[in-house]
Amino acid sequence: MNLKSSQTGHYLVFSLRLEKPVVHESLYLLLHDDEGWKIHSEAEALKVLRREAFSEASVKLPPISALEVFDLLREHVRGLQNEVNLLFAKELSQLNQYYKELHQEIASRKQALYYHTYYFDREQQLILEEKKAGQEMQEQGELLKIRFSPQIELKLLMFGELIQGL
Amino acid sequence: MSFVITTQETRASNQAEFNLSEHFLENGIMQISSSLRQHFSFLRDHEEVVFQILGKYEVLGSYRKGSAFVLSLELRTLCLSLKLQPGQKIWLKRSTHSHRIFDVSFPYDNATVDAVMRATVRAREIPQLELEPPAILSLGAVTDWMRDWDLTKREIGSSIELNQWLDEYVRQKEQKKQGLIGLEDVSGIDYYPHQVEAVRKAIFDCHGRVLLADEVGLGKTIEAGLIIHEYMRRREVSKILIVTPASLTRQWQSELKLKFDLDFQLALEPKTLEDESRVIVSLDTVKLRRYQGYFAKNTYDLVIVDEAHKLKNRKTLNYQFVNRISSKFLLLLTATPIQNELLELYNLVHLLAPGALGTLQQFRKRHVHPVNRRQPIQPDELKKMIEPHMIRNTRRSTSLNLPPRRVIMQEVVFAQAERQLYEKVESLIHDFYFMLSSERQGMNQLTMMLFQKLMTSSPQALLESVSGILNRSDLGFEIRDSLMQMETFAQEVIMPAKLTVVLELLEQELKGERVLIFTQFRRTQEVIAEALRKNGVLVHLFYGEMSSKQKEVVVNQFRDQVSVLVSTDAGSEGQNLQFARYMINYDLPWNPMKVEQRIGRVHRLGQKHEVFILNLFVKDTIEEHIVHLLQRKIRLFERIVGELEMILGYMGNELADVDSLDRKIMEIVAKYREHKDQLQHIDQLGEEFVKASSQYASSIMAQDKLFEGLD
Repeated sequence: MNLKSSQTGHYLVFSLRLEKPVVHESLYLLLHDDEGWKIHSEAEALKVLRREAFSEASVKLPPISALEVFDLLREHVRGLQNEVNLLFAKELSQLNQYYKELHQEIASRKQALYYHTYYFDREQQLILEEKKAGQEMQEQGELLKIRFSPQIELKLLMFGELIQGL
Repeated sequence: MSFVITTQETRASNQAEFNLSEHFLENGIMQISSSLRQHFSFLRDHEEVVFQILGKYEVLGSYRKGSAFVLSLELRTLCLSLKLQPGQKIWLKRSTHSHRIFDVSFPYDNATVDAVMRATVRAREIPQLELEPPAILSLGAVTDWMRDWDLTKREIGSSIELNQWLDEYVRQKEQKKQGLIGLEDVSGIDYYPHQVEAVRKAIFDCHGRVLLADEVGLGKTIEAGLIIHEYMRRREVSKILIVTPASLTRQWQSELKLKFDLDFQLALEPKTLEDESRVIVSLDTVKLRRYQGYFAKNTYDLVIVDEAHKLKNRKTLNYQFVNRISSKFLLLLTATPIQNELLELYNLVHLLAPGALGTLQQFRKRHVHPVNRRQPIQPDELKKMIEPHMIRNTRRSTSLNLPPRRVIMQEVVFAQAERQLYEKVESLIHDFYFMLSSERQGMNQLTMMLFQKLMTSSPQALLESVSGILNRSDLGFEIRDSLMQMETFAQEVIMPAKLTVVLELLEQELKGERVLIFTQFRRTQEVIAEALRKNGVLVHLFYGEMSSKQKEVVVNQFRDQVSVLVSTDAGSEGQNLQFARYMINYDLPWNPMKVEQRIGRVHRLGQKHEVFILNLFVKDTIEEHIVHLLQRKIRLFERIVGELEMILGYMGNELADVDSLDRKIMEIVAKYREHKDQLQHIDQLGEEFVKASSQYASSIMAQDKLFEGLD
């Protein structure tokens, strides 16, 4: 979203930091003009914040709720979510492939037992091994989820009024 | 009407194409034509065939060799449910893992097949994790945020501050993109380019989950410290767990404090794990049941496992503990990822990235040589597979070779008074050692061991200890009598033989040099210092009870002035004293690890000159045997610092715990009066080290061959 060549109004500057699995940090500028609140990305935020003059006196901001800010950020966060999803899918698929192959191996060994004389003992061992693999798979899934559980930190850095246009 | 399923193999995709027959759709009998027979030729009569659908379900069939068909009613049901007609095709692909497993594809999209499969066929589901990626802006996150929402609280007060904040923000962000940001704050150490590169690779290429497998002595601990520091600087970690062998916990703690100013707590009880965010715990401790509960319900940002070759066996509790611990980043540190077989490497990589090297059976088949289990079948392919998970620096790749180390054994001869005292101590030990308790109360075997060690350190130290014990009221008459005699003999020694030798050395050969003298005992340290001062030598003392600040001052003074630093073994842990090149071991610890740690203070990266190590030992005493053990059997003085820990890993018996070596030596001393008998039995102990060293050497050769080119 591009800024208009001339811009005045109230503003909020946020920093968003996402942790797990990769760290992502970004600044967002929320500007309020006649059409309401609009969000601007980091590059635009930096441009404006460096160039503009601000009123530092206490200003009365047009009301904005947390939910509205969340809605404005949602689109930007979706891009991050897609990145996370890709990484997650890659790791999950590697895990699934591993456990699928492990399952096949155990199944194969079970089938081959028919030709052994110590069938029952061995079968019990393999059944246990299969159970253990299943349990381990669940554990690894849980660990993967923890590794990818995102932590976000949103900070309101600054707010005020732009007192001159671009 | 056709009864045969015709096949047409597409060689490129290794798929077999089946034209469905009416016969199959009626009876579930797949007639195997001659062209398809090769796919089934490995099967035995009546052997079970597994058809996998979408990689999620399994249906079974049975192969009849004589009649050349496979009977599978479930597959037939599925085809009918999918409304497949005679003449339509399905595709079979034999699994690479088993000759009797086939992936089946249908001329429909996966969702349709899945829906029909679920609704109509009784199939076994292949275990699979179906997990949704955790949402970034989950309801919980939004709720938390809304709760904290306050438009009156801003982080930055004025536009000037905002500009400063922005400058710093942009600078750091650029730096983070380009490389490491933490190095500028590290002032306590001199790091090397290979270490910086290892940190960079660990963070950017391996995403914090990596096997750090540098050769011994290239500074893996420093690399780990730099990684911790970098992640902390990036605010990516706060909860950190370091798991080390018990013998190294304190060393890690002091090195992290000294070099990175990082405080880590030793987890001596489970509560520490709950209270502290940066903890060091020993491998033996984490296995204890009372610790397990904590790890099961907590997660870490970073876990570091030192001497990770101890996790080589996946059946051990150690391995299972690390496999279950939840951590975003995981560093495994070892110089010997392969000790006995390649599977050990598999196990380590599996901890970092489960499944990255396939299943154990596949790995064994594809990579492990059937006879020599250390040798890979396809080294290039294996190297490619492990490269994303491993960093290895070698002396050759880093061109970091330490200057030579010269070791001098200086024999000292007791004068008559000291000899009498020594004999009295020996006789006390022979008479009473086995009668005393090994418990830690009263006059016990440990006290005897202490006497033996003190005797070769200094008579004054022995005297102090004996006088202290004589104050006890629970001593038997015979022991009291012997101790009183020892006290008298000790008082008669005016100038200990070792001290005379040291004074001569400092006045002649080492005059004007910076000299580091190690002793095990505080009293001996005082005696040496006193004598040196009397002779006009500038002396500094270093011992455990000093505060960190005092220690820092002393080390700085020793660096800045030509002087002598007399240190207890507290100075052998974590301190960098490579600006000195002359070291005297006034007495020798029986534990070779401690001797190695002492050497490591001066003979380490950063040392630019030849190092001289002078070991004093008294003729015809236990020290002579200890020197023999260290020099001839363990070959400690020729080894690179750090190698001994590796070698101990190969010792299967209780000697692997070097603390038990003290007890073994003491038992020999107490049991055999003749020195040649003592020597013979200490020799036998030494053979264990010889065997372990040779195993260590062959594993190093094997892994060097495999990892060649990875550095």
